[in-house]
Amino acid sequence: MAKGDLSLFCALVILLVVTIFSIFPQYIASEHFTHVDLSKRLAEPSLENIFGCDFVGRDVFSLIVWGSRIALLICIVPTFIGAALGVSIGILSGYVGGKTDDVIQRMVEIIVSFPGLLLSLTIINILGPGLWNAMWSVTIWRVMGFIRITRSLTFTVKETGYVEWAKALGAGRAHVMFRHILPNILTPIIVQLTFSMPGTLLSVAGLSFLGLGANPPSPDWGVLMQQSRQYLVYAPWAAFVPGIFIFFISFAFNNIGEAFRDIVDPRAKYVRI
Amino acid sequence: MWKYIVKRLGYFIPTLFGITILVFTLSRLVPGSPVETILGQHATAELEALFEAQLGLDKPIYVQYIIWLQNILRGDLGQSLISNRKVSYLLFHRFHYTIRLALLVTVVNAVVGISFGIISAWRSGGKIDQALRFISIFGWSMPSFLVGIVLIYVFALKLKMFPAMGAGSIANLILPTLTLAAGGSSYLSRLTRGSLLEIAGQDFVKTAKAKGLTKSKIMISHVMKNGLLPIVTVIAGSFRGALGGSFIVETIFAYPGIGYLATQSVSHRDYAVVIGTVLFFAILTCVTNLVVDILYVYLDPRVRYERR
Repeated sequence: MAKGDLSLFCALVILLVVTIFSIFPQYIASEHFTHVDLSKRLAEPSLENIFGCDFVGRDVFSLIVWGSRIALLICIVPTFIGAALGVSIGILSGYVGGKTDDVIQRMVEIIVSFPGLLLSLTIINILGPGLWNAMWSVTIWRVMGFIRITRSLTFTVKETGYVEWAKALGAGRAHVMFRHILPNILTPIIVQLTFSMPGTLLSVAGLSFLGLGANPPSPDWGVLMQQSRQYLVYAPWAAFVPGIFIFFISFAFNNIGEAFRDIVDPRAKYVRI
Repeated sequence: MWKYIVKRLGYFIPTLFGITILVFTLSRLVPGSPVETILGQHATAELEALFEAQLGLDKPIYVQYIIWLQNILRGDLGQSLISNRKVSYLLFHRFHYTIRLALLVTVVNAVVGISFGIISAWRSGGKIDQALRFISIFGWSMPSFLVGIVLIYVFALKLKMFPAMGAGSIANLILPTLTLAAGGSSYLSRLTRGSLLEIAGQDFVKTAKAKGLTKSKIMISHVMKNGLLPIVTVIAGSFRGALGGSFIVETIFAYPGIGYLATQSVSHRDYAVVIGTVLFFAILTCVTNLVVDILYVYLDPRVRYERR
């Protein structure tokens, strides 16, 4: 499984590097992200500016480093909040069943009819552009996803022996839900969490790219791509490099998710016919 | 089977209503009242009251909803603040562009994705499978906007092979399709592989092998016939994904579809158009789901004979 190991190793290295970038940007980046040097507009990559400069002379590498904090924030916050809400509602819906389940399911179905980005667009339409608004708009989509997964997982766990045993001993609903069902569905949910992070990053970065997320002069990678897009002919590096870093994080989380799933999923990785 | 179809339609109608209610709520949540927008500086208390009565805004909210719904059914979705055209006009003239792109992307995704999925499943565990797995994860981690601008740079700016914007001919469709197909076919190939392997792990395949059938015979007659059924659902998912991806891709390539219209209107705060596009996409997704569910039931003989 050499190839798989290599991918996983690269993934962990990428995440480590980005985390270090986000903890100590001031020591790693050569300049602050607001530092503008018009004499170096659209400068090519050189020893001094590893990834070149953008249209106002900001060092792209510094921008990337300063923006990694935002990127990790984007990955983590909507996904975790979405998971917390989604899992709670999902367990409730799956365990309690009946009318509550029907109502919740119907609402989820309706919201899910809207393509994810469209829902985000509508919410930004109402709230206005901005990084946090973009993140909240993506959170709602995540919540729906987690509700569905948690609900189906809850169904598989609901009728098992130990749940009945707990009920026979007189456990209340809340107790059963959170002490018995939740720990047992936690592993697939963590896998799903890992897989959701790249999606969240891509969505929010996409919104920034469309001008609806973070505002300039934020070093958010999506915003950097949007600003540098006009100068693609002269300085492609300014637009490509942030995108490549977005890809790196996305790739890293997907690989880690796959590796994790291979470990915890009882189904065989491959089947010999 | 017909029982199921009727039941499914029974699900569809309330969901459709739910969508309209949600969209209506969203349209009313937009900041600023339409009256202020229209009157601008000339707003006085009396004029506002007058306009409100005229627009029906002083009526209770459920009456407003019914009026709004009636307007929608008549085809009146309001007017664009920017271009002063009717929203329905804008949607009508652009929707075939989006559909064209979405269908082309779905077809490419299906052909490429399913082929690679089959190859992966056939040679599961081997070098090819691992290589394809790596490529798949690579493909679906790519942000669509990165792929888009890289393609523009390489093929449009440097090689000058394909146009970077607009929608005049088939050449205009190629780069946007490639952008969306990269991610979509990677995802589809993984799903196909997973589905086929799940079937292959079942007992009836072991029986077939015990009977002495060759691997090809097993794969083709047994595994694929059954494994490709869920693929129908997945292809529909691909179509929905193509619709969802259309916002970014159409904007990058200035392709005059509804996705581009949506992003532009949000940027320009052209609320009526945004609501119109939201309604369009939501209904389209809902209808796609309906069609797929019915198609699935039609294709799956197990459901057909269940009620005998």
